[in-house]
Amino acid sequence: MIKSHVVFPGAFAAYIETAEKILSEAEPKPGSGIDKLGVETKYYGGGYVSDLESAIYYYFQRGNQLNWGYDISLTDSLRTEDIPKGGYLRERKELNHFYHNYTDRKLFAILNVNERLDESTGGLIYLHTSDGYQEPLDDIFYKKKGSAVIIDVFTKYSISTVKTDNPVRYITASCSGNKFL
Amino acid sequence: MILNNFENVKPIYKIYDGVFTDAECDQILEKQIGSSITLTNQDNEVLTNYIDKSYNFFTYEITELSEEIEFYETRLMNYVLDANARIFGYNIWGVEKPPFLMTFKPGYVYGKHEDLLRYSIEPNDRKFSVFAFINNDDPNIPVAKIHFDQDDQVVEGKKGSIIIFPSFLTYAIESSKISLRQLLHCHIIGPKFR
Repeated sequence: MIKSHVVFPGAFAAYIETAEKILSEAEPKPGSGIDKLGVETKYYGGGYVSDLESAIYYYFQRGNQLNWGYDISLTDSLRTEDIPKGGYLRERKELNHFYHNYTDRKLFAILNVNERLDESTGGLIYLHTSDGYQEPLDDIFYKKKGSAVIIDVFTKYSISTVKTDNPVRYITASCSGNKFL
Repeated sequence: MILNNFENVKPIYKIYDGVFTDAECDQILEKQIGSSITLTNQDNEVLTNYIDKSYNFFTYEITELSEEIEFYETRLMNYVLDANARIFGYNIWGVEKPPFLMTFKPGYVYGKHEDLLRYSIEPNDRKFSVFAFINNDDPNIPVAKIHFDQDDQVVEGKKGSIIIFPSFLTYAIESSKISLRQLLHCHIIGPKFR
């Protein structure tokens, strides 16, 4: 690992409308819902939206080759997060290592489907590295709609409080492979 | 039959009690060589709740141990192999460096951190963190508590016991505000996580 995260600026710019259409037509999985802060999470993935999962997997492969060198197989889950004004996501890790199965999540992608985001709008993503520092994402992620950022599942991330009236929306995806050895 | 993975979660750590007798714990403490070094990254900050609110704030002393206690390292490694075979199944090579003694004087802290050095240029990763709980003034209370972020689990370490857990877990060590606590610590390395 060389970098904490890899950004593909505007990677999904041409595909984002199609992606949104695919998701709007798909039935969210059980477990989808709204939390106390009004953050709405809808689960897809696992083959529900195969085209979109495949499109994201291409960038998982590229990011993985650049930075991690993990043994990865597929995009295993996909969800959307709609964060209203006043909403935020606390620090979290996407690690699912302790389940008794033969795969582990290894990489995690967040797609920016918003118009420009900055300090005034909130909804920014911060990484919390193992040495305890809060690190902002490369700014280019917010400047280009359709950008994708890839992090590993050992990295904690959080999303700052949204300050605008328009909800901030992210599409997230996990990539898994054989269990970490 | 369908296996519900969300109800089948394996433990995040393995603890073994009674690995070292009281006499062996004393023997380990006698084998300290050289003077201890105090490691800290605090600038006279007073942390009121380091377990929850801070990352990676620490003050503790480390002391090397005489090579005469090499057999303790072998014993620790046997338990690591057992834990790895029963729960984790990682590729491991052995200890990174000989176990060393960590001393927490009253008020010393070790805030949230991970031992996995993900930016390391070494061709290996730390796979396991191992702690042996060696010393406290009162045998009826735990030597230290280890707080894990994962599921907010807290583990109490009794004198003579050891705990083994994956190095990528975020954890903090809660020692004591009134008495000295000592732990033996080492890392187990293996090929990079793939």
